[in-house]
Amino acid sequence: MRITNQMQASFVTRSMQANLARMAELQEQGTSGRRLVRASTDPSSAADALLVRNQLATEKQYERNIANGEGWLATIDSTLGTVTDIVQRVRDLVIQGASDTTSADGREAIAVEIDELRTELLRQSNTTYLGRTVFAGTSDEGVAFRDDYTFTGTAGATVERRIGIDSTVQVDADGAAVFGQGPGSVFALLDTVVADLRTGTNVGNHLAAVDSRLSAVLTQHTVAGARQSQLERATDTNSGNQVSLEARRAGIEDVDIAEIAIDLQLKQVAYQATLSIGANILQPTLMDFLR
Amino acid sequence: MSSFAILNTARQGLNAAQAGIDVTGQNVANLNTSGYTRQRVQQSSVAPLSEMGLARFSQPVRNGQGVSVDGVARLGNLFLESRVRQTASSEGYSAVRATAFTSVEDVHGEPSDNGISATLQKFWSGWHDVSNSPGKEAQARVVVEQASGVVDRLAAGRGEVASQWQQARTSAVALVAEVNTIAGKVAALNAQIRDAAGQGGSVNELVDHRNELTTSLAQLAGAQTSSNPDGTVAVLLGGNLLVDGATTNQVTLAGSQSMDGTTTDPVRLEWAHRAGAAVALEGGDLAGRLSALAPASSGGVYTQAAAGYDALATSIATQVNALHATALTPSGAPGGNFFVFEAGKPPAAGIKVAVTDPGQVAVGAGGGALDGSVADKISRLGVAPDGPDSVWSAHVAQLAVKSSSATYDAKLATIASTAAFSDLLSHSAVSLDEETVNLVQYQHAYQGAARVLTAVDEMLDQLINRTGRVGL
Repeated sequence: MRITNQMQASFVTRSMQANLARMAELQEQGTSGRRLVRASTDPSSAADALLVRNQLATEKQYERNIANGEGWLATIDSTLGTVTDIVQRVRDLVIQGASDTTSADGREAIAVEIDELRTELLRQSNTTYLGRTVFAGTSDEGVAFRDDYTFTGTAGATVERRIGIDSTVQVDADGAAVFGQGPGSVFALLDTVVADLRTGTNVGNHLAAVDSRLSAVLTQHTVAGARQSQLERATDTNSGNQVSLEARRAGIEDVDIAEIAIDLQLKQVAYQATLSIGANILQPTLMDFLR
Repeated sequence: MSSFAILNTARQGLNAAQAGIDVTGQNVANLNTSGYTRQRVQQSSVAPLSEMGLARFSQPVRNGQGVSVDGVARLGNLFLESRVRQTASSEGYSAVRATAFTSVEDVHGEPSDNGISATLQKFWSGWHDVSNSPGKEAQARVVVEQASGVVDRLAAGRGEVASQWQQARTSAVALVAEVNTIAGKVAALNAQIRDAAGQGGSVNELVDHRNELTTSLAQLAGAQTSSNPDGTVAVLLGGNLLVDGATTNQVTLAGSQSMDGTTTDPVRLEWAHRAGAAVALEGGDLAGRLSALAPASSGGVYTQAAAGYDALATSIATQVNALHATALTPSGAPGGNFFVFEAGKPPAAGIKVAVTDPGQVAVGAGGGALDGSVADKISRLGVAPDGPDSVWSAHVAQLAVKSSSATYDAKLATIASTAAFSDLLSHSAVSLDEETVNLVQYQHAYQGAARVLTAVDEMLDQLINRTGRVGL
């Protein structure tokens, strides 16, 4: 095979260009930190990368949902704690009122206190969180129980927060289950007790009703507590998921800077070798040796 | 034989050596000329004169009559040259396709924080937030803004692809003009070469120029060349003659001026003298460009990318609208369409957000005024197996596979083309060392012939001036 001057020149040029091209690619990857400059660099990894990004964004949204839900449930938790105390106090007062040792003045004092407690209970039932009534989550009326003790919420409607692809957690409480509604509600019961105390009727008959209302409140409190711990577990799972998804995404998309740095160094050495060899090939000709 | 005949022989030797040095000088001068093929003097020895009659017997020894310079040969190789043309044609084709795919992928910009899928994620997040706070104006406004963001990205992406189609078509028009110009030049050279060869002159440089032009035609349009006995070449495009001797047939670009019209009127190359007759290009830059401009059913790069945007727009609008229509706004009115399409435009370009007021965003389905269950369902479209996101990632993955295989093809074609060109250079380019040796050879031959001349001159001087003068 004849070697001609044009061949030598084009060979040296091509080698230098190939080295420079590879170095430029490494520099682009190193400075941007991304291995997948375009999807075609690695098509199957690109498809994976899109999926992982999708999942990561969804997990971040679930994190926000969980935080929002925790606010609701914390409000419900403290409210139900207060309600439990109030109903407990009402129970004690009813026992006291039903006792024969209480005088008429004593019964009047108990009636006044129970009346106050009923007002307080109604106020508690209309607790709001961020403008939403927690005991009638889907109602827009601003109160869960109106002054006539009717319930503003819709039966069977719940406020849910999505914490996973297929899992939601209910974050409101069913006011009708906690307090009853209308004439069967705890407020109406307290009104009856107050009226009976004032007319002198024995309120001991109402003790069973008060007990059943108390156990309803305790049941709902327990349910809310269980949901709260579900959310706490979900928080842990969620942050674990986010960390592992981010690691997966980085594994697919990002470059290993150390590897790039070493590779770049090797390519620079190769480039310098090409330059010096090219210089040695291109210079001497027969002309130098003939007189 | 006469002594003066030896003078003639020496003179011819000088001429031959001088011609050799001449041609060597031509080669060295064109050391770096691209497309130059090295030349050599062809010389042959001249046979002695055949004698008639009695002279045959009087002089049994007859010498040759010197050297004759037959011509200057061009040391080319038809096979290597045609191989260079073939590889240049496939290199042109695959390089254009690879570039088209790469630029379309840059428009998509996936996977990154700036692609459409990132915008879609924000849109679904917006629906989550609306589901968490139904009836709140702020979150509803945010989701309407995110929707506008998605719509804008869709329109911008499709518009960018369409404008790349437009640029490709414009450069195809320029290429066709170039093909016609080069064909004209080849025809002119054909005429010159035929005339010069007919008169017996040297046509090597003209042939070199013509070869460069036919290689460039091969790279541009996949043209094939065949040589005729009279020294001209015929250039064929898809089996039909582009250049025939000194005449050319022009080609012209026909077809739709906009990307959306290619389904009914694809961009194609036609013969100018026979309207409607398409040219079946076999390779080259122009063929690559036309295949990138083709409609989606024929594998057109730009049209398939635009179809991906359209599919995404249709999928988003259909699925979101279906759920939104089942929901009620916080004021109790039914939801209606969330996205609408402008008539007469392709889906990705014509999609618009139909909801202008945050109060028109429907979130619930009757479980109380502040129910957010439908908004939750809409936000789950982001992770649905047949949702818009999976439609989009399937499209991106397909495009990535096609693009990477086109890039690989282009690399292979470049390697083949470089190898073929290198082989041609090896055979036909000038080597300075070789020419230097030839120079030395011809120089010696010249010196030798000059010596012979001097010797004969002295002989004749002896014969003419000193014969018959004894002792003087």
